[in-house]
Amino acid sequence: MRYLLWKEWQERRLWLLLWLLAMLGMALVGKGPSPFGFDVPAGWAMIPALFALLSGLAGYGSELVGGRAPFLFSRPVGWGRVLLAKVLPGVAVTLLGAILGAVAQRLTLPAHYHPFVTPLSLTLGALGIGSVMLAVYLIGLACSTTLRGLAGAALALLLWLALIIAGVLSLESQSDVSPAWTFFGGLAGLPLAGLVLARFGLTLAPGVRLARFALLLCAPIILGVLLDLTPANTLLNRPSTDVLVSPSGRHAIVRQQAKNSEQSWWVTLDDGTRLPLPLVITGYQFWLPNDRYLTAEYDDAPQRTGFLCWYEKGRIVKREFPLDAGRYLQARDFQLSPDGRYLLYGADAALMLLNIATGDTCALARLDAAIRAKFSRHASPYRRFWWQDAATVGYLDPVTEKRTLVAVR
Amino acid sequence: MMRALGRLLWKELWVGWPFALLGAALPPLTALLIRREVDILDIPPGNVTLFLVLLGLVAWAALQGAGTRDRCSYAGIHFPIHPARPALVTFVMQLLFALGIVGGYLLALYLLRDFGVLSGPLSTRVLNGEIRTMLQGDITRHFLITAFLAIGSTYALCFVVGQALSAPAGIVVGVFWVIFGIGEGLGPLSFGWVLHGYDLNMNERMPFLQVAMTAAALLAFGVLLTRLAFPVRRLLACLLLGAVAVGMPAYFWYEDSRAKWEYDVIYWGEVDSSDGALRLEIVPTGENIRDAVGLRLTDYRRDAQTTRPFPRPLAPTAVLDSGMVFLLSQPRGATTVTLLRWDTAADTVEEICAIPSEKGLMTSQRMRYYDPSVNPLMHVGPDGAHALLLLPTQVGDGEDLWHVDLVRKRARLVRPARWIISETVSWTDDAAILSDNGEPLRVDLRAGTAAPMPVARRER
Repeated sequence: MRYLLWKEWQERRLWLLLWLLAMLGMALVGKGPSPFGFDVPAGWAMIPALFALLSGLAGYGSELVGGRAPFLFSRPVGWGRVLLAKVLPGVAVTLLGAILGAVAQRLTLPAHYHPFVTPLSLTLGALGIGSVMLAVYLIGLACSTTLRGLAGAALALLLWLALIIAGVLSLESQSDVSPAWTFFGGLAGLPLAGLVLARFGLTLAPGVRLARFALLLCAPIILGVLLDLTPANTLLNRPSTDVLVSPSGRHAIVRQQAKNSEQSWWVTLDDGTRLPLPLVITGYQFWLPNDRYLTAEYDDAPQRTGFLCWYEKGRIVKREFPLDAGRYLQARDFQLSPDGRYLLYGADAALMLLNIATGDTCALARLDAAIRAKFSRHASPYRRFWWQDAATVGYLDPVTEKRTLVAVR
Repeated sequence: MMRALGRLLWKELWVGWPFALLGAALPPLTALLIRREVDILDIPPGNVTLFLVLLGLVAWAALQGAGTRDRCSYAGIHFPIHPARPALVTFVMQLLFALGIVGGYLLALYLLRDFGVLSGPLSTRVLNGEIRTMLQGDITRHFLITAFLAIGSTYALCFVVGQALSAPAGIVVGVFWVIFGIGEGLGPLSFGWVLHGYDLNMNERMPFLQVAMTAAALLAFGVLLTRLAFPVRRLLACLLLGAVAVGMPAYFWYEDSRAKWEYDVIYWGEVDSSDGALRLEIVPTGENIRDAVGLRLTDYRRDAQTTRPFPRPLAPTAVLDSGMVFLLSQPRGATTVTLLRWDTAADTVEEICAIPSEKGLMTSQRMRYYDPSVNPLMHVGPDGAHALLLLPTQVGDGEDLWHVDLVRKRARLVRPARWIISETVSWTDDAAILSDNGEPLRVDLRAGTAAPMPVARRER
């Protein structure tokens, strides 16, 4: 074993050292393992990951030329030991890189972060980057059993891309069937195929190796596909929950989304009770300062309806008001009066006032259709308005840009 | 001569087609991922694709270079052609392949637009905006020149180093060149504009860097091709090119760290108070002043205006209904950002506190995604006594969440290095709650701690 490890070191020390240096270098410039817990780094981590891939690809690559593999297996050494000698340097560099990286990261950390760093968080952070590096190394090693050099690199990159695509589809699929098990199958299939080829395939011709690699990879993927077609597919289909807390912190709109379904609740945070909200509008809702929320129906109709809603004595109260179709709700398009009785908003061609108690609306100012046509359809011409006091509204006239006051009582 | 050239081209086509095929297959595959790269990898869209394409180019060029070294002495003796010619043909062919790949990448984007693959704002922006314009306008010229320079310099660098030293050395140098010279380190400036549109923040000297790099690469190429068999010349060419490849980005970084920026990274037109009666804007001066910016607050309720100059770089963080304006500033070279409070009624400015940050944060690209109107840096409580401030972290990715006590004028870090995607902040007596995306985050204003706030699920 000692000689095998020595051989590996002689053949691959350049890539292994570069990998280690890259991990350490990233940590020294603050891009290494997260010191605050398990977090898989992105972006800059591509540099050490690249060297991990190249280190892995160099694994069996050297055995595939010049009849080295038959020679190696003619010696009194088992294939398991050869494999172990290929895996161990990667594990050692991963461990060393992660530990040194975590230490370097801790030492170079600015002082104000120190209270958040614990031995556990450092360990978890090292585990995060270490698991990524080891996975990349093993993918490279598995591919090196099949093709060497640039072709092996191309194979590894393509498989890596395929895994990312499968992973993304598993996480983001909006259909009832997400390919989660297929993804796991692909992930498990790579080292499995590499393992089998390391045992039986190294002395075969490249074409045969590639065909067997593909077959071995397909087996767990097909198993995953079959599992995805069974009820086990619901394994990863967890609903996501978004919470929008009211300005006072007393209420919240809880929006729960699962596959093809969505439901919202009005939650009172003090006692935890929740009431269903019939108006389920994805995303476009916001609170007014008086703990009532605004939302709107979005469809293809030229005129949309806005809703001001709240729960009162266990019953939902809603006020409807017309909106133009050309734009979405924005908080700055609404101004609540100081006494909370009126809501001022810019409509398609008018500055409107909503009486919250009665639900009546009236126009405080309006533009002719011909003048309105000169303004953008995607915003109300009344862009700036405010409450001068509880009984007076001020606005900038869209045409003259002059400040105008109007009494509302 | 033409016959020899034709044969060389045929050979190169025969040898290089797997690379071209692989490169051509990558763009459509990764185009599927383009908008998702943003969510998953936290890096600008399309970078992975371009990184992979350039990586393939790097590997191929380094291997070609190393192969040429092995073959040159044999070819020079046994064939009636100058040893420079095969290498030159290799270079031209790979340049054509690489240009075809980048073109295929754009074409894949363009063709996939109608299949819902690239839905969302990115597709709208990229497909209906930049790419269409590019295909129709004179931006095509700019694109071709940029792509030519980036690809040509990368190929030449890897080829020369691979030829002079070895293929692994060529790959290592090439990878670092892609990352630091034209890659993520400075932003993928060669290609970034294709994906994001013309970027005013782009380093203006980047095209110069590429021109210089390509010129040096071609010079080294020329030196190399005169006598491929001479080790001293190979080494000389390698050193020349290596010095330019390492020296130019290092020089620009040094210059950038010293340079006075002519713009603030955070762009904003105007910032309103929540009651709509106050508007903060930059005083139009008619010309760009480097070191100072004039801010004007218009109070529509009182029909009054207040104007005051401030040093750059500067970012507005909040405009309160009471007329207080909070601004973030960072003197050049400082390792802190300073929170300023401008009392527009009295027209006085006071410093609230200095918060540790990386040097040059306010002029860093990491600040560009903040917008005082849409994605503000700071949320101030209704009583004006507390505020939550988000700043890009100094450790990896994400943001640091700071609690600022505006009365005692001090700031403390409550949650480091996490992305906080919350547009709504609710204030209670002793806590601020960030919500709108996933589980809310509750910041205890007394203890200075932050923790997820579970929402009870008792149904009535």
